[in-house]
Amino acid sequence: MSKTPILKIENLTHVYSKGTPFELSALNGINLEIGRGEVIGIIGHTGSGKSTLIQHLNALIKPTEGRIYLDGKDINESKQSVKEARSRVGLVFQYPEYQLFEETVYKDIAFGPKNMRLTPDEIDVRVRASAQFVGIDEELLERSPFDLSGGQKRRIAIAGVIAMLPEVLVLDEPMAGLDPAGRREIMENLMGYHRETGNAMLIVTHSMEEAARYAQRMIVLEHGRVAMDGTPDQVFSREKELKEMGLAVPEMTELAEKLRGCGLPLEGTIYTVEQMRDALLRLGGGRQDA
Amino acid sequence: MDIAIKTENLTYFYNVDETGDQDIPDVLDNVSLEIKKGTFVAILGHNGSGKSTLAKHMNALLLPKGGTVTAFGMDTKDESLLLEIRRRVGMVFQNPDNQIVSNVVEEDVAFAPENLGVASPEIRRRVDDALKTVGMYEFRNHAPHLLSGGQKQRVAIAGVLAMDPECIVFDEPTAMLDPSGRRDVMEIIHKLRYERGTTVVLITHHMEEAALADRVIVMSDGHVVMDGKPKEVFVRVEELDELGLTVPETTRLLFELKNAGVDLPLDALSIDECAKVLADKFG
Repeated sequence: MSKTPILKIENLTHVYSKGTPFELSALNGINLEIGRGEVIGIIGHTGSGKSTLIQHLNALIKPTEGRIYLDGKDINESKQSVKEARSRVGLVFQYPEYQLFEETVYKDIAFGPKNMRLTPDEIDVRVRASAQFVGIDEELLERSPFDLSGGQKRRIAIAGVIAMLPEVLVLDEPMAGLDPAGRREIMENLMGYHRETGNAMLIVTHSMEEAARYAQRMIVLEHGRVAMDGTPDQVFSREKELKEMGLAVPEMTELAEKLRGCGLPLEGTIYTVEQMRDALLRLGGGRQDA
Repeated sequence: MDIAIKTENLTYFYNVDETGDQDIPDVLDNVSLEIKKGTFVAILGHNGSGKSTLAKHMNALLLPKGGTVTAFGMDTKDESLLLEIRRRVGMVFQNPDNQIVSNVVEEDVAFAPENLGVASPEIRRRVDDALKTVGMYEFRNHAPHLLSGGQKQRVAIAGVLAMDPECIVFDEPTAMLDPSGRRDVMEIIHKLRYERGTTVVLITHHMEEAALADRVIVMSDGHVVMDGKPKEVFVRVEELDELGLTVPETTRLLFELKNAGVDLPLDALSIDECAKVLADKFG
């Protein structure tokens, strides 16, 4: 496997409405490398630049300054390179179910691969495989997407992007508005896709707990800059800074802080229920023999 | 009468599909509930459990196909009472973009009372009061479409408050908001309940939000399957898991510790309560 990162973001700056009274600088000199097959959670409050950043990754918007390299090549270099980026970097927007438009689920999922000028046979293979990845039964393929539930529509919209087999799959709040079981299922489907294809995945989310459960690396944005970049352990060990940024620190991190304040010597970084349980059980004191 | 909303054997189903399949299950099946005035009730349930359908019956957006619904003693099927029911029971929906009609924040908030024929000085008073309650008074001359999602949702809530309702039904009002937007909405709900005595019905997927209510109702397949104080409902960890729901992380932790042989009460819901029982046990 090549050592070049699949995506390299170099000194990326973006200013909206430059030169007008509404000038707004959304990204300020971002430098990032995304490795092949990485799963990354991107976190930041509203207005931190998350959406602006991800829309640059497949050339939907162009940098005011700086460059984005896909596999070593500047994506904004030519019409051809933009087109290439659109199929190799797949973007799933928030509430993508509102963007379904075809008569059947099959046609909707097939839209992307069709634009890539694949043969009907190739398209068929991709449609069926992507439907399977997101847990949509074959029998639903000929139904109208508009007859299906919100959760199913969301899956179909994701399948439409997966069908292009993007080497980087970027999802903006893929779990928003779903019930807890629905959130878990979608994330597990996505992780299944990641394991099977080895493709990189960037997930923008407000839920730090969920990001930490699935991602090996977390990037925290603030005021258009990368404020933190590291493993979940490294990021959550900076609880105070996260709070100052107005981010929702995981409940267990907050509980750990309180318990340490009460004098409990809890070890390690704690952000999941399992970590907290184990840290408490290691203290032992409370154990009562049944 | 201390009942705000009452449903008796409420049954509802959506229209049969084109295939003529008559076996579609009822979305609501004989639901009987009473919601007391001035209380804060959270309704939980997986997607498709019927909770939004139930909410839409509370101010006659939907009418029962079986049974009755009364709002402050008024039968929702009585068309002559429709305006009065809608005025007294307001609704806030998930997507703030669908609830805003004007180009200026204060005009948007004034929209409903204007349509109700409220006198101008009274409208002014209500609009100012509503915007102050949701913390958007200084944005009164702004354009709503330039606000953040959380700010827009606060404007939408102010629009409902300006009708001076006695009950507000919130249908997943925080689903599209970021954590700080969510916190703001929950603070407003708290204020309405405790400072104004407004009856609040909150449909939500967030267990931490439901934990703040006086009462939690859990729906599944068109039925009420649990109904009680948050502490009574959330200790039923295994049943909630089976329903595709979950419990607040504090309860989950206590449950896991209990399974590991540590004797702890499961109902220490808030972080402070949970910290206290753990500090006592392990300290």
